[in-house]
Amino acid sequence: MSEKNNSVPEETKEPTALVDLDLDEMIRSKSEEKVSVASNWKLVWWRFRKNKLAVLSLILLFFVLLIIMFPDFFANQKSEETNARQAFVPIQKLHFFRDGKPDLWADKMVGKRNPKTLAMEWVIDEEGYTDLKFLGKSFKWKFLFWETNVHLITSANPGERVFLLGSDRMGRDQYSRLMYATRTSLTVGLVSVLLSVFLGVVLGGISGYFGGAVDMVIQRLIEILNSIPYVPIWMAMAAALPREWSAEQRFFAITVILSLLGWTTLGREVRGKFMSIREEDFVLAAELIGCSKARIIMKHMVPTFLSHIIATGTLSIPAMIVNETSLSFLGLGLRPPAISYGVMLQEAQNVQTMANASWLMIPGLVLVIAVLMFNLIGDGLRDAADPYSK
Amino acid sequence: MQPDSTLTRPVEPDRILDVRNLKKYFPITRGIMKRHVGDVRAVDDINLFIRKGETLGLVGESGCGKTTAARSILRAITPTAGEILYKTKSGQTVDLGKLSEKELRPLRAEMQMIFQDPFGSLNPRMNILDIISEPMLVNGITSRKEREDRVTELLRKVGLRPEYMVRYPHSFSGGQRQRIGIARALALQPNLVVADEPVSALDVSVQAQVLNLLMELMEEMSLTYLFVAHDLSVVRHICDRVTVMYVGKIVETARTEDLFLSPLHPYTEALMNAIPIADPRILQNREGLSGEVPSPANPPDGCYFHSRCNYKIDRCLVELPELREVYHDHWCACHRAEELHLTGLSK
Ligand SMILES: Nc1ncnc2c1ncn2[C@@H]1O[C@H](COP(=O)(O)OP(=O)(O)O)[C@@H](O)[C@H]1O
Ligand code: SF4
Ligand SMILES: [Mg+2]
Repeated sequence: MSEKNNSVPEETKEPTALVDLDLDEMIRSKSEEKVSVASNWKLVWWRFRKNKLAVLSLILLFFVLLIIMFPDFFANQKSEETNARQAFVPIQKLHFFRDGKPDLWADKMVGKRNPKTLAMEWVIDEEGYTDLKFLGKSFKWKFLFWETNVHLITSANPGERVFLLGSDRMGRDQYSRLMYATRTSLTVGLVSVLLSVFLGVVLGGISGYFGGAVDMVIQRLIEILNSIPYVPIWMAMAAALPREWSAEQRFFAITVILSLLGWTTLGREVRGKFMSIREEDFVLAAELIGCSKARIIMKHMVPTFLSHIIATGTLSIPAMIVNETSLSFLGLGLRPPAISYGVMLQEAQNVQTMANASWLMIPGLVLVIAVLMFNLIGDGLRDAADPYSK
Repeated sequence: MQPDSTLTRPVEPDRILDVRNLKKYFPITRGIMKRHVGDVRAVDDINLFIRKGETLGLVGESGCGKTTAARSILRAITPTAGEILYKTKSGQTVDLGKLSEKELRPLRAEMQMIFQDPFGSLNPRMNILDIISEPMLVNGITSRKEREDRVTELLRKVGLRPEYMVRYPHSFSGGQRQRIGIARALALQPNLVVADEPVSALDVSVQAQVLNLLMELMEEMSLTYLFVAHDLSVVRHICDRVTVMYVGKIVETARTEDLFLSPLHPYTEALMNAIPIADPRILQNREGLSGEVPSPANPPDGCYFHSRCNYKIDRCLVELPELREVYHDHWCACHRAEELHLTGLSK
């Protein structure tokens, strides 16, 4: 006891938890100093980064978010711009070089009436080309108070229409419409997942933290919601939506319906987490130093499973997007003039000559890509979520 | 009326903690209707006290109710019954068992806990500075500079480099984490520190270092400890008095020298025999403990220890022995306390 405090030997041979962190060699070979001061989010990111597909999807998501925020910028024609004489124009392929020099252009299409069937038949005009412009001008659009008419890619000749992904039976530009559909469909997915995460965290949290009778009631509610067959309830609810509702109102209603049914899985998960974390020593320690209930929940409990919630939330976005698409495809969800993947596919379904206008299936392909993207990110997050457990 | 008992038995002035008839039962329920079918009597009517500046050891095998007792005393869990008379820093005596959460919160900082598990007791998502300064933050020390200075000082005190404060728990070993936990417990100069098996999860080579640290801090900061341990060897050099628990009840309490020299309860003797002795010459008739600890949900009739006791008589099977003061300051709950001559450990 005569020993001075500062001379207490630091036991250096004893292993630290660093070896359990399951970080790859690259990270471990970073100086130990750097790992020592790495916060939880940094560790999660280091682990997430190992998954190349997930990182690629994250980059894609960044662009998709840009589309969701500024669809007008990515589009080059108004979504409702029609021309009966430009129906079913096939994809005008994009080219980046002309005569060995970088230049943006697309195939030119010329239509001829088939004298027998009287149908328009479109062929590539090998002589001509459609000149395009990067950041060219087209219709005016607004973001908040800022007005502009600049778009990502436009036709170089004012008034000329270009169909980068073909046109539909009313001569509307599929590429531009797809930008707006992406906004609608993904917003439904994201917002309804956010809403269900909110419901799941609040109700699951109450259930798990307080337990007892409240827990009983919420658990029974979850069981009831889970036992409801989805399709009939959707049909009933969609049928119950007043016909005169605007596209926005329907959109909002669909989102709410999706999330009211979709929070249960997350609710269960959050409840379980709350119940197990409540028993952790560090939570008790927080209580014993005099932290308020709110601080214990917000500072000690929620951060512990936040990454799990984000992962689970991300993994449930695809289902929501597919749900909206299915509903709209069946005519129960969004309806024209709203544009979503489901609405576009539903209109494509009306085409008898599907085989002749195969490009109208592209929204389905885009949907698959979006679903894959969220799944890959969610998987990566889930695997990276808790660096402290094995 | 409860308060009357307080009046008839006033708290002795030097006692910082006086626990009377403390009980903690965990109900056992069946079915969806949560029918109450019995109780786990984890702590069943215990009495103990701690004087200011003293260290009381609480010893017993795993499952004897030590953690439950320690947590009830700190009101980490709500006791089923009993009084926990605690003398606050301001000199008042309060019954912790009857305070509401809200009344309790300002007192929290005065009583701190050191945990058994060095891995579970630190939030992995906070760095060391945040962990150690949180008690200061929630108790009104708002200046960041002041908190940092105090954390620096505390880290030095527990033998860690102050530069480590920006690190996260994952970069520390078990022993170092335990030091961090100690620093957090001491952040607000507590009146009473409950250490729940603070070294039992550590490497043997590190245990002594942490024990030494705890002893040094006790002297330096004049701390009062309730020191929980599952074997007697750890307690011997640290504690002034020792209380031995068995299946939720106290079986013996004495000053440390008395307990080690002349134990009165057969369970204490058995615990002593379980202490490994380095000297091979002292290989006498050392019988360790055999058999299982009875379940606190369904304890046997008579003396709870009779199933494992070498000295039991017929009376032990039917009558539960009361805890009584056999010699001055030496309490024991055994029918044969006076007649048995049990072997202790000499120095
Ligand atoms: N929350 C609880 N619910 C039910 N039983 C419990 C609970 N906590 C502890 N017990 C029981 O109480 C008894 C004493 O446990 P504990 O206090 O942890 O003992 P010790 O710390 O001495 O090992 C054990 O039988 C244990 O199973
Ligand atoms: S009362 Fe009897 S059984 Fe219990 S410890 Fe004493 S001798 Fe053993
Ligand atoms: Mg214990």
